Amino acid sequence: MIQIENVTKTYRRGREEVHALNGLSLQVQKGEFVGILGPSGSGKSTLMNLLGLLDYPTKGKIIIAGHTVEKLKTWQMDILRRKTVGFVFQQFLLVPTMSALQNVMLPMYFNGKQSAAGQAAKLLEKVGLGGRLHHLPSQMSGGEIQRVAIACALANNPEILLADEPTGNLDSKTAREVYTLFKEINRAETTVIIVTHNLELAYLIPRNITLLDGRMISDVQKDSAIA
Amino acid sequence: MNLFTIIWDGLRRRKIRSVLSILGIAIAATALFNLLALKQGYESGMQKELENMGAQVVAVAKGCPYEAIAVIMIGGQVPATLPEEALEQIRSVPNIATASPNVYGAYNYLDLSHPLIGITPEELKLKSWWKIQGRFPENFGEIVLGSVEAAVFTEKSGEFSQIGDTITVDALGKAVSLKVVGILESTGSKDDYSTFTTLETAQKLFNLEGRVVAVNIRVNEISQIPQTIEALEAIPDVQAVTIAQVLGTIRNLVATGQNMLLVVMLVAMIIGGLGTMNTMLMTVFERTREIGLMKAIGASRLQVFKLFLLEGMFISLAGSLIGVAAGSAATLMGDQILKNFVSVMPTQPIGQLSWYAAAVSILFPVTVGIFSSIYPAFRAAGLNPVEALKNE
Repeated sequence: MIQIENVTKTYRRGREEVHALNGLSLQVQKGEFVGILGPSGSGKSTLMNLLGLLDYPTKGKIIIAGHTVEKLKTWQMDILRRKTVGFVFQQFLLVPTMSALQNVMLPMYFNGKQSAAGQAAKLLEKVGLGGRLHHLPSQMSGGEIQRVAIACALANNPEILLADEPTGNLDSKTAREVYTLFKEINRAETTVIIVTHNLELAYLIPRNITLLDGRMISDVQKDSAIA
Repeated sequence: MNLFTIIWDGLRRRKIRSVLSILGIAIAATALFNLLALKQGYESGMQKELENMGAQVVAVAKGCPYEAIAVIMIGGQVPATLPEEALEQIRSVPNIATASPNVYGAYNYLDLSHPLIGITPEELKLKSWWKIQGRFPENFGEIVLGSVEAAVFTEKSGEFSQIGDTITVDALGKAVSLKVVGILESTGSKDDYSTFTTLETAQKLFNLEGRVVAVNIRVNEISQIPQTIEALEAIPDVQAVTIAQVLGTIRNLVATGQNMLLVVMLVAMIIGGLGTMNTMLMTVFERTREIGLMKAIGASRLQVFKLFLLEGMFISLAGSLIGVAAGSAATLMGDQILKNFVSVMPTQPIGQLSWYAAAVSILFPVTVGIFSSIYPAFRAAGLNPVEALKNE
């Protein structure tokens, strides 16, 4: 599903070159549930941007759903992204003036589906927000917003769900509820990759990859996931 | 959900700014619409008015013939006059079919000034469409009233109610009794607002004995007009001008005024366009993170470009539609407004709503709107999603 071979990502900060990822290699199989751990600046978000087809690697090779990223043009990346990847961000990122339903319909619209209200409503019911379809983000709690964001991420039925610290701004109870949602999504064969600082959450995830200074320092596969 | 839902969401979240941008475009579109609609109406109205004079050539005393004709059209005193003897010389010029002498002046009645035109039966040859109830004035002090004048006098004077009644008017400070011997049926021209009398009456009332103000001429052969004018101007003190020349001059004057207004309108449109560009750029800056989100959830560069381009186009379309609506209203009231500024105006309303004016007043601002939105839309489409998502 995902293959990363010796990938380097270098940014320029003034005259200084910053190696956000430094020769990283890993593989993720279809249907896996992976947690990415590591301190700030270890390269977690950079890795997510590359996996989410938002950026190109400086060096190395990335293959996602059979496509070699470096060979793709920007517009091809756009199409592959909208068909393959769903995103959940830490910052409760929704369009503030659109209702929960409209926010979920937005990625569907970009994917060419114009009349998708029924499907969007079903997704919101699936994440437990059947009664909040027409609420604006400002009328919902942080946990509810993240649920809407998860519904958005699932809107185009992606093969890969990426979440960048999705529980970072949530209390522990709500964080656990959100994690349960991810687990349910993963049961339906969607590959789920979560960046997290939350060790309690990481403990529940079957496979944990830890990064430090842009390199992988551990890749732990547990025998069975802990519910 | 469709493209319009997303665009509408973008516009309504910054209502005041959107409304102000729309208003900027609307003002320019109103000006453009009025300019086109009134210009068309003014030209055709003036042409009709000049045709209603019945003459092809007008002979006046040397000076500015255009000024003389303008004064003739609006009623009033012409500074220079021709001696009556010139009339016979004019009639002797080859190719002249009819030469009708006129004396123009005005009298005061019911606290208003009314044009009084001294004419001879020759005038009926020029204005074959005239229908007079009663008869043509033959004796001193007899008048024919234009249809509007007759209606107003009947309603307000208290002394005139039918043909045969006499009204007492003030001509150059003297009280004069004028007997109504006829009423001119409506012609749809200035004649409806005029009073006609014998040439001698007008000459006496306006102290112009032995003089005429203008001679309205019809010719036998239109192709011979240049030679006829040459012959007319060979008569001492006579200057001749064709109605076509007068119309051409009016058109030139209107075109000059219109060009000046077009420049002003163009500046207004550029300002409106810059306003739209500013609004759209601000929108892109404010929604950078949202654009990043849109890209992250699958929006292509083209989709983002289209969103912002259409949002700018919508602003200009809304502005131009409001402008055409406001322009239509202003055009229909244009006569009243213009009469305060323009001395020579046709009798008929000049406000003419036209599809041409509406189409230009919509298409031009929309084109400006599209061009103003290209750069902001290009910026939005080109944003790096990773950088955009980091934007606070």
